Amino acid sequence: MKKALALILALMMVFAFTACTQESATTTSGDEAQAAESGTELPESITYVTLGSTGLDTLKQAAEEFESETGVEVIIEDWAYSDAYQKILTLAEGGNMPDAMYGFASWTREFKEAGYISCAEDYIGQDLFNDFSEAARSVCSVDGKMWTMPSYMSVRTILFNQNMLDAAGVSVPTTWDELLEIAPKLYDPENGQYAYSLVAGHAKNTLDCFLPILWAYGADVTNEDGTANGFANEEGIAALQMYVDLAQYAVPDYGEATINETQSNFTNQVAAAYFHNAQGMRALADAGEDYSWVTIAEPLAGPDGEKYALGVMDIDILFATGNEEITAKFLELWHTAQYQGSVIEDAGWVPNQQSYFDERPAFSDETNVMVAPFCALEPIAKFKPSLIGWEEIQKVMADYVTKAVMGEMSATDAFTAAGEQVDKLLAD
Amino acid sequence: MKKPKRIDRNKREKWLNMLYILPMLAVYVVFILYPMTSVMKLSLFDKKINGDMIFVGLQNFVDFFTNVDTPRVFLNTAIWVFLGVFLKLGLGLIMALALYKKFYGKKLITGIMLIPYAMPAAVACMIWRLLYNPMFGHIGQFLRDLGITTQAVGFLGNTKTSLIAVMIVNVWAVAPFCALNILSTLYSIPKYIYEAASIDGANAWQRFRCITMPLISSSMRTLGILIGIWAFNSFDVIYMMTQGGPANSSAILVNLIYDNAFRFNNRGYSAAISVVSFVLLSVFAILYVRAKEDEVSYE
Repeated sequence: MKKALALILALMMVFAFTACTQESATTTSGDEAQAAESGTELPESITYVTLGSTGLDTLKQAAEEFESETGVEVIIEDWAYSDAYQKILTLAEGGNMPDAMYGFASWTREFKEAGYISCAEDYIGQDLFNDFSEAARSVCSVDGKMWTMPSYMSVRTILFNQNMLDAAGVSVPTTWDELLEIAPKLYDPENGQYAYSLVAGHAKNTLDCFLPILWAYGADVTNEDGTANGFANEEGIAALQMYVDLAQYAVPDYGEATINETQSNFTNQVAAAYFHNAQGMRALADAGEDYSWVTIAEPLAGPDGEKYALGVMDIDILFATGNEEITAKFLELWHTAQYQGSVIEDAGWVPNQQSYFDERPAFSDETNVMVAPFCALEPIAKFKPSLIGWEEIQKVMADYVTKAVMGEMSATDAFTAAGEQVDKLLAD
Repeated sequence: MKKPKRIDRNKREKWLNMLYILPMLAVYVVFILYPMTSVMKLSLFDKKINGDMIFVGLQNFVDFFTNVDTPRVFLNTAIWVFLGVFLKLGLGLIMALALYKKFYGKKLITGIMLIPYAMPAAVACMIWRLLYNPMFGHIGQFLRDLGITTQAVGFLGNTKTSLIAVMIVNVWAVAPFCALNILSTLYSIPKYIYEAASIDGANAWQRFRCITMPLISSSMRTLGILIGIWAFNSFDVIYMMTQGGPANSSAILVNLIYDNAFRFNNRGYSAAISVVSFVLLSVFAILYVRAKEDEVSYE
């Protein structure tokens, strides 16, 4: 009896270990795909990851068409925005990347250096390459080559609630100083009215709101050659002080808000102004509500007249899985006015392919307030840098902006300390 | 001739017993010992973006202890663990003493008391985030109605209050578990001890101080160490409520480990913080084992 029991336990242990080794069998599928790729065989399927259900239904339509044309199934996965970076890094470490993915432009350099991705320029057709705007291509380029593909792009500027401005008897400001001057007139917390809605707690979104001010004041995240910080100087500290001063008149949820809350504060007419794209107006339009009270203004200028819109570039990434050729074909089908163009139009984003302007009338319509004013700002749009270690640099900067806004440190001390930490990260 | 047979049987039994514990030993080696030694090894390396592993010795530990945010994170962890344990045990004791007595609706109240403990953490965090919302949250509105504050207050978005705000949620969720444990210990105290004390003229406070507390102290000490270890490792509540922010004001050591490993891709540095956490937790573990040895009895 004891021997039989011991034998059963030992067998169970062997089966358990065998189950663990099944993983190594499946991880060789990438190698098989590579072998198939170099030959004439296509893989059975490829995987594309989208984030936050963006364009999910349209993606599925494109996937169906692709499968009917090539016989290759496109498996669409939908991940949350918030943990996409952690998830893809973990998969990449284990060699289990999807074939393509929607991501953020700031990942380009890091993924290229890590060897996770293949150069998109080498795989996509010349027609698609030429269709992208020069600005969009440069955001996705490292050392002169376009490593990732420009995807969704939005241009953010300042939007005002004209009703609140009129009620306060003030006109649309053109500089950040002017906004600060009129802020007290727009600030009535007892009646739930505030001058501005900003973020000063969430790492990524804090910089989304702060960078246009930093740039307008003549500072930047790094210096020109990217070897040191570009904000621990007079201009950067002045920009931070402006942000601290503005926060006094801002909706008090800035410590825990994300960019979505700033949009809600604006569309619910709690905040007189915020910095974003047409998404808020799109949300009001979709809900059948009036948005004629929204004034889209040019970005506010700094002391020297400089002004910048915030360009937000999302990308499509081609991972080095061995299926690059066929995956690039799917991305070429996806990057057409019929598919991705329709998603961009519905979302109120800015197209970065000429064919979208040519084939979708909404993008060329000068009276389309969802698109035309933001497209016009593209020449003065600046994008977040693509740096190795950007997530950590972004967090350090955002944390010190938060500390200054919360009164824990002066603007000078905050950016001096942040500058030292960022210099160390850039040197690593 | 008989002796060799007995020796053979003993030897065979010993090998058989080894075979019985082999599966558990294998699980321990694969899922505990191997990952632990891998992390300790990783803490001595720096992994570059191109995958190169560079031996840096104790540099990761030096970087951790010289980081400007480290003292704050240690302080947060100490507050989270020690103050949190104190509050959980205190609230649990009060609830247990209340439930010790017989009263109408006791079973219903006990069931309601267990709801915070039974509720999934994600649901609890979502509810509390809404309660704490500075614009429309009930807590802020309640304080404004009482005249304590005139303006909207962001508890989660304020570096001074974020940690305490999240701790309240954690205490609210864990105190019922403490109450149940203390209650079961209270039920094990023989009633005749209280009767004897009453006959001797002891009042309620004296009975509590001289009988109840000594007899439950061992159990509470063990419980305190256990929930202290859980608090040290608790990641979910802080991550879901504030993600350790704003500006690391509510971050404890485990948040730092997560951020460095999965957000910043600093695996070696994260492993170094893990080793430091392991050393600190080992102290808790030793205290836990020692606490089990101390017992008070009046019998």
